[in-house]
Formats: sequence, C-alpha cells, structure tokens
Amino acid sequence: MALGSAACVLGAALVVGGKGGLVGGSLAIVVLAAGAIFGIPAFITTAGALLAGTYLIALVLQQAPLDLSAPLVGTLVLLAMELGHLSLEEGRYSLPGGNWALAMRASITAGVCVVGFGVAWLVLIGAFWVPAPAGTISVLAGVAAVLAVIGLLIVLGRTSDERA
Amino acid sequence: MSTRVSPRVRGYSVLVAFLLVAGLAGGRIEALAVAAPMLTLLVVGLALARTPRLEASASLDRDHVLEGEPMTLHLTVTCEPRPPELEVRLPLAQGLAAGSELPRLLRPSASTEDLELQIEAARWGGHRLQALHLTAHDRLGLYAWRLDAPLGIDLRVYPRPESVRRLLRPLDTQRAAGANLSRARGEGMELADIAAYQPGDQVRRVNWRASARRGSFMVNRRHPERSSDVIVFLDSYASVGTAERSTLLTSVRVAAALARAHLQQRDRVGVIGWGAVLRWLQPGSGTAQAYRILDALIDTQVQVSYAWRGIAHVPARTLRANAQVIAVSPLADERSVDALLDLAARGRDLAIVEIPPAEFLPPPAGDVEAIARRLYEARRGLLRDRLAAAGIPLATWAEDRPVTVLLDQLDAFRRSVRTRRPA
Repeated sequence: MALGSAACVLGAALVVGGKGGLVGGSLAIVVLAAGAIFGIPAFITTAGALLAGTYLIALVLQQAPLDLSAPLVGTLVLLAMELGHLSLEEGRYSLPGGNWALAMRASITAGVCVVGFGVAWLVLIGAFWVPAPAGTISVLAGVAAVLAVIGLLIVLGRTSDERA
Repeated sequence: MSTRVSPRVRGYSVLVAFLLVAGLAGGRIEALAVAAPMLTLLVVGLALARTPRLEASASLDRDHVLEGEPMTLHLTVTCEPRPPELEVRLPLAQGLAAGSELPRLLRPSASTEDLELQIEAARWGGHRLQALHLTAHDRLGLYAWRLDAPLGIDLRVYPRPESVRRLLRPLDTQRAAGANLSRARGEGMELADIAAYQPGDQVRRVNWRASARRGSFMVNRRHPERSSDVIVFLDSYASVGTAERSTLLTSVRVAAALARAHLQQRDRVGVIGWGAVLRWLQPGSGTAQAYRILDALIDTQVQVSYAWRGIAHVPARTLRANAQVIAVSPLADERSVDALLDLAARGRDLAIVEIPPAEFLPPPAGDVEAIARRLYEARRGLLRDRLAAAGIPLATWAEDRPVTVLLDQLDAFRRSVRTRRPA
C-alpha cells in the first residue's frame, strides 16, 4: 500500500507540476489508485497512458516549443507505474526474505530509470541538435513506431503462460 | 515448467507503441523522449532474462510420527542459471503445519540450494506432501518461471499415546500367559482358595498352617495370569464436528489408547472398523500388531452408506466368542446401536465408550435450538438407558476425562450390574 501511495504521489506531482491537463491527470491518479487498491495491472498501464497522453495533448494544444522536461516526465511516469506494479507484488515481498529482494528490485529499477532518463535525453538532444530535415525525423519516428508495434505483436504473441 | 510474462511487458509495449504513434501524429518528438525510459526498461529486462533449469527433490527424516512431533523435510533445489529471487512454496495437507517459515523468498548463493524445513503434524492421519512450488524471477520481475515439482511423500501421523493406568478386566481369558487374572485355577500369583490335597498336587502348594488346623493336607489354589482377546470396535458410520475436532477424531484417539494399553499388557488386540466400509484386523500381539492397528485406525474415515449391515457380517475369526469387545462410538447411527445390542444379546463381553456428539456441536443459537438440543439430550438419555437395560457397561467421554477414568466407570457399572456371561 505504501508503494501504491508513492506511485499516486508521483502522479500527483506530475499534475501539480503542470505537466498535463488537470482533468486528465486527476483521472490518471484515480485510475492509478484504483489499480493499486484492487490489484489490476491494466489500470496502472492506463494511468500511465493518461499521464503521458495528457502531457502530449497539452503540448500539441499549446503549440509549445521543444519541451526539455520530456525525459523527466517520461522517467517519472515510468517510476509511478513501476511503484504501482511493485505495490501489486507486495504480497511476494512480504514473505520471509523478501526485504532484500525488494531492495534489490528497487535499486535495479532506479538504475534503469536513470539509464532511461539518459536515453530520453539523448533522443531529445539528437532531435534538437542533429541537423536533419524535419521529414527525416518523422520517418525515423515512423520506423520506430512500426518496429515498436511489431515488437508489441511479438510480445503479445508470446502468451502469458508458456508451457515448456 | 511454465513461464509467466509480467503484465508490465504487455502494458509498457502498448504504451510505447501508443506514444510513438501519438508523437508521429502530433509531430512532437517529446513523445519519443517520454517513451524512451519504458523502452529502456523493456530492452534491459528482456536482455537480462534467461530461462532457468529448475529441479527439486525432497525427503523426510522419517515416514511416521506421533501427533505434535516435528519432522524435518530436506529439500534440494536446483536453479541454473542462479536466479536473483527464488520463491519456495510447499502446500501442506490439512493436519500438517509448517514449523519453519514457509513460503519464503530465497536469494540463492549457488545453483543448488539445500533447505531444511520443519513440519509439525497437528493431527493424526495419513498425509501426503504433493508438490513443491518453485518460482524463479528475473531481475526486473518481467518474467517468472514456475515449476510444480511432484514430491509424492507419504507421511503417517499416529495419535499421541495416552497413558492408561488400569484396563477393563475381561470376563474370559485365553490360554496364553498375560497380565489378566483368570477366573480359573492354576499356576499363578493371586490366591484363589484353599482346597483339600489331591494326588498330583505339588508339595510346594501345601498350606502348612491350614493343614495343621484341619488335620489333613490342604493346598493353595491360585488364579493364573492369562492374556485376553480384545476387539476395539470403532464406529465410523457418522461423525459430528469439524475437521479439527470431531467424534471420529476423538474415537480414533481413544481406540488407539485402548489398543496400545492392551498390547502392552500382552493381550491380543484386533480392530473392527464399523462403518460404510467394514474393515477388520484379526487379533494379534506385539509391536508389529501395534503398527498394524494404528495404520488401520488412521485410515478410518466416514463414508456415506444406506446399507444395513448386521454383526453377522464380521468374520468369526475376528470376533471370537470369548473376546472382550470395547466399542468406541458416538452412537449417532441406528445401525451401530443395533449392532452393539445384537452383540450384547449374543452374550459377548461388551463395553461401550460413548463419544457424545453434543460435545462437538456449537452452542445452541436461540431458544428453538436450545429446546431442540434438550430434546436431543433426552433422546440420548433414553438410548443410554436402553443400553444399560441390556446390561452393556457404558462410559461417556468428556474432554477433561482421561481414558482410565472411562474404564473405571465401565468397571463400576460391571460391579453394580450383573453382567451377562458368555454362553
């Protein structure tokens, strides 16, 4: 429950920080809390999508220039979702010997977040500084999107239960 | 072995795809930056995940224990390559309890781990350790590999022995030497009477004082110590109570205590399991017979049957004419009551230890239930009177009443009522 609360606090921080619409952000926090309380992983993903989606919609509607806080937003959204998912696994970590496992998982997740933040920065800097025509960037993003969808289909094809 | 992919993999994949498409549609590169941390987690997680080879084996330090005794389960768990987290779960059958912490999350220091788990047998019976559940997780918790390793370990838990100081004297004894005082005259310790000397009497039997008084040779006659055949009649037609506390559980405990005590006294003890499934064990003596009896008792369970069975169905060799029959019964089924009355009518040396069902019922809730309970108790009283009228000694079990006290009650009944002798 503590981890779920932390996830909600992170989500709220994003909303209060002005990264995203108030309505969408509030809805995201409610969905995140519901996912943590009722143990529904899909709710946590939905909350993440709502947080990130409202942020992007706000950028599009405001026609803002390049927002350099995007890597931070992405990292915080990931962190909020990871905390939400960890709260669903509290049962496992409350087992004898679970404290060290939780600490190890938290440290690895934190490390991945830091690396992810760096990667996001590289993406942003690359897009900003690399002299490339706008069409090239769009094509690259399109290719990445197609690859992501194909990857998604592969992952979903490997159903949740495989018998070996 | 089964592999479970965390819902996070699916969720992050969907979200990354959604962000990339949204960024493309909206023309915002920030979408790619928001998606990058999630994509990093997926790539790192999938790159670190390695399907392990899971194996488990187990052995118990013994295959039979007494109620309440702890035993040690030795587990050998192999997981190659070594996972960061290994979850060990051992579902225990009802009646067994984990003395050590289970389930537990291990941090294996080597590919093969040896574990020792303490298990306590809370209740008698035949138990089986079915399977050990092992779950290995990867570092980011994206994958879980689960193995349900079949153990197939059978464990027999015998009822805790109750000390029985004095047993019910049988009306008849066997020829073999034992601890029961026979009514016959012969070689023994207990003085029976003094009689006139007969040719063939041993000189050491001559009672010199009596001979001097009577002016003729008088000899001491003694009661020999003999063994007896005891049949424990265990009624399993019906059981009242819960899985932890019921008439059947108590009946088996009392029956086991009686059987043990008689075997220690060198009596031959047999068992009749009187229920939907008729089971019997011919009288025998010794340690092997003790284990045979305990095995037969702990396999007893209630099964539903509407068949009417008479005592004539019991093999004659099991229910010998001069055997003492001690019935342990809740007297909750009319078929058992009829069988016991039939035994008494045939002149058998019969005594009943009643396990009253009312002791195992919850307290009555409300006036109607209280009246129903009183009516039930009145009917039980009539039943006891009916059995007493048939000359059957009956003692009623209670939680705070040891078996010795019950046997004393039976003995007192015998002394107060003229008991039928075998024909």
